Amino acid sequence: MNKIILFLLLTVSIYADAKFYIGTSYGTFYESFDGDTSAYSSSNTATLKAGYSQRETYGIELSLDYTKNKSNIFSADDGDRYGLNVSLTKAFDYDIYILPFIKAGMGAGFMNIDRNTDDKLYYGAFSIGGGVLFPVNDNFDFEVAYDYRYNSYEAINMISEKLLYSSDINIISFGFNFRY
Amino acid sequence: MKLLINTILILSAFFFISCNDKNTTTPIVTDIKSLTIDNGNISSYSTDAPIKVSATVTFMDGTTDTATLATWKNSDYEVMSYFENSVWGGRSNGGDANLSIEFDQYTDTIEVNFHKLTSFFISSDEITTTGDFILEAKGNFENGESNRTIVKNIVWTADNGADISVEDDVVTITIESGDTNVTATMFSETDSNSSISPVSIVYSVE
Repeated sequence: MNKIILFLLLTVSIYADAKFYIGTSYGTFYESFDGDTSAYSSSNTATLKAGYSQRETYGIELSLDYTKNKSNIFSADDGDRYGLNVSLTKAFDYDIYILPFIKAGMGAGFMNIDRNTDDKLYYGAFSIGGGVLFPVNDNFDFEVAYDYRYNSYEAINMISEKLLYSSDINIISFGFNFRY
Repeated sequence: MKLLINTILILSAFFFISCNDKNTTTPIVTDIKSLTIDNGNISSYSTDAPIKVSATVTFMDGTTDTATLATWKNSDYEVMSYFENSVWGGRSNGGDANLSIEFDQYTDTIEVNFHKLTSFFISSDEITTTGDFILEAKGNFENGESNRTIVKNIVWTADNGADISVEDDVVTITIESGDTNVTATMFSETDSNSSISPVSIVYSVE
């Protein structure tokens, strides 16, 4: 019990300067499918974020993605995709104007499709990335980030077999965060 | 300086946003058009060997493949037995049943009829020595078919220590010296609807 209390006190002391934040970003999304599958998807993606972090050190972030879809890969009328991700961030304070950071996380989501047997296709994803924060003041900063995501889609049942697809996704985004 | 960096940053972001426009517009996964049972309606006999059934899925692009992931459904297990893509007569000795295959909105159904057995007899050759012999019976059916070899729904028993084994619906008996009473019982003994009395034969070996 004492060890738990001590750990919690230590954690609180480390994150004494941590703040909750919300933010948003907008970026470009580029997806290419793995293996022999020749398919691509590119469009724009918008993200809403909420997190808890000490801007100069560590943080945890929850984000909701909306990606406008322009491709038709799984059906003749693929729809938009929605994702939920959680990631851990580590920033580096070199006493310069910018704060470089790296992050890693995982997520899941779905995209609307228009197949005779399915109207949604779910996926899971692992992500790593990095970027730069541009602090304006203690409560506000701009952010440029790059994310690489490995996407694994649920199997598509063709009655004769199940087809599995995975893809690599690159996202470059620009956004801002408000901390309080 | 800050203003300059932020300006460059914003312009860079919009540059990346605008430079990507590569989209696949023809689906890589075709859609399903139909699911059909290949066999058509089946007419068989209540004691015949299993009949293989299969189904084909047709895709929107015109290609086809064997449907292996759909669910087969049997409307009446008393009339028809189903196991691993094969059907044969159930223990009710004849009748009609429907065999369906289903997947999501796709379904297909065929009718399966089994002619009723009316009488049968043991047709094995006379056994006069000890050793292994194949047991066989033949039946007569209500549609006039006669002397048709019985494969399913028959149970063989024997006394005098005779060993009976079944492999791939072939029944083998190991005869010892003495009188061996062999009995063939059609369908389940507990099924009063079968109305087929057991038939026995005695093999005498010195």
